[in-house]
Amino acid sequence: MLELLGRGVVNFVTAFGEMVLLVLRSFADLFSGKLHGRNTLAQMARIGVESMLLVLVSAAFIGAVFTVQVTTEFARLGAMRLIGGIVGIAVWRELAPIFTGLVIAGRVGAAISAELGAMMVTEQIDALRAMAVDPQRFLVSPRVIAAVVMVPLLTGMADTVGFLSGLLIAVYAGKVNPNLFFQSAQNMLSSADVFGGLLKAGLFGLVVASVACYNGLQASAGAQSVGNMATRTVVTSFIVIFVLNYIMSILLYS
Amino acid sequence: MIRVHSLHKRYGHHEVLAGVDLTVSAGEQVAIIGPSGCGKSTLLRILGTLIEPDAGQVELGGQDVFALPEAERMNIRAQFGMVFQHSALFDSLTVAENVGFFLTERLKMPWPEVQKKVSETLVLVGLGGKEYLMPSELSGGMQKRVSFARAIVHRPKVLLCDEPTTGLDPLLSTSIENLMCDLSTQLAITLVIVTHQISTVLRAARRVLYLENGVLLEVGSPHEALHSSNETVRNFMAGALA
Repeated sequence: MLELLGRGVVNFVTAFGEMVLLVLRSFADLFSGKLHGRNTLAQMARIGVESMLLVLVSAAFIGAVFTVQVTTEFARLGAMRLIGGIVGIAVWRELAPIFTGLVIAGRVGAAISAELGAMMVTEQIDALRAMAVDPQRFLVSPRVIAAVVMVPLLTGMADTVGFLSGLLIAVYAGKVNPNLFFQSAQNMLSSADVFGGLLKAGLFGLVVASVACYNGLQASAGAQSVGNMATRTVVTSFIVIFVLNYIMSILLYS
Repeated sequence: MIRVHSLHKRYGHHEVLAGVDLTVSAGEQVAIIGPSGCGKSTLLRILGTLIEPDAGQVELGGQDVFALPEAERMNIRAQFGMVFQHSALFDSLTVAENVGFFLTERLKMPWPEVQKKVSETLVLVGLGGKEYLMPSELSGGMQKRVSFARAIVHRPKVLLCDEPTTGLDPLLSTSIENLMCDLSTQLAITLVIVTHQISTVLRAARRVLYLENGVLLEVGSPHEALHSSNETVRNFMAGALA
C-alpha cells in the first residue's frame, strides 16, 4: 500500500516536473526567436478560429441562463438595478474564462493529445528526431504558445457575447432598462475584473496545451493508448482548471 | 566507421542488450538478424541515437556520440538516414513535403531548391511524378519507397533500416531489397539493416550478425549464415526460408 502510494507520488512529481520543463522550453523558444512560426500560426487558427463558434455559442447561452436566474431572484428582492453589474462580474471574472477553458480542454486538448499520441505510436516523432528536428520546437512549443495567446482572445470575445446575451435577456424577459443595465455594469465592474479573467484564461490555455502535449507524447503503443491519453488530458485539464480557478479567484478578488 | 563497445540496455527486469560489440566500416552493408523481440530495433535506435544505452559507447568517426550534448548529437543524427518499419510518413504532408522535410526544416533550404532535390530523389526510388500525392493515396510499397527517399534526400553517410520489407508481398520486398542495395552502392552509403526476412539478408547484405540473449554473434556472409556451424543461426535461417 505504502509502496503504491510512494510510486504514485513519484509518478505525479515526475509528470509535473516534465510538464513544467515543457512549458519553460516553449517560452525559451519564444524569447530566443526559435519558435516555429508557420506551425504556431496554424495552431492559432486551429485553437482560436476553429473553436470560436463553440466558445461563443456556449458563452451566449451561459450569459443568458445566468441572467434568467438572477433576474427572477433580483426582481423578488427589488434589486433590478444591480443586474448589469452582477452579470458583468460573473461573466468577466468567472463564467467566460472557465467555460472557455473547459471548451478548449474538451475540443482542443483531446485533439492535440490524440494527434501527438498517434504520431508517437506510428513512429512519426522518432522520424522527426531521426531527421535532427526537435519535436519540442516543431510540435510542442507552437501549441503551447498558440494556446496561451488564443485562449484569452477567445475569452475576451466570450466575455462580450455572454454579457450582451445577458443584456438581451434582462431587457426583453426581465423588462430592465438597458441604460440601467449598462450603468450598473459600469459602476460595479473594474479593469481588474476584466484583466483578471483574461489572466486566468491565459493560464487555462497553458494548462490545457501542456497537459495535452505531455500526455500525447506519453502514448506507448496502439489505439487504446492514444484514446486513454486523450481522456486523461480532458480529465486532468478539467480538474486543474477548477482548482486553479479557485486559487486565482482567491488571489485576485478576495 | 561505427564502433559499438559493450552496449547494455534494460527495460524493467529484461536485459535486451547485454554487452553488444560491433564495428561497421564505411560503405559496408550489414544485416542484424534475430528472433522477434530480441532487441534488434533497440540496437538500431541506439545506433541512430534515438535512445540512450544504459552503458557502453557508440562511436562515429571516433567520437563517443552519447558523451556529446543533445545539440551536438542532433548534428551527428543529421548524418544518418533512417527507414522505419511502418514508414512513419507525416500523414498531413504531401510526398514532396515528406521527402523534403529534412531540407526545409533542418537545412532551411528554399523550396524551389528542395523541390529539385526531391524530384531527383523520387526518380531514384522509382516514384517520379508522385510529388503531390498524400501518403494515404500510396500503397504500402510506395510508402516504403517514399520513406527511403526521405532518408536519403540529404545523402547521409549511414542508412539505418528497421524491418524494411516486413509486411510487403514478395515482389515488393524484392524491389525494396534491390533498391537498398542500389542506393547503398550508388551513393556509397553505409547500410545497417535490422530484419528477420532472410530474402532481405540474402539480397541486400554482405555481412550478417545474429542477435540473441542480448549478445551479437558474428556470422559472416549471408551464404555462410545459411551454413553456419552455430545450430541456432542455421535453424533460424532455415526456418525463415521455409
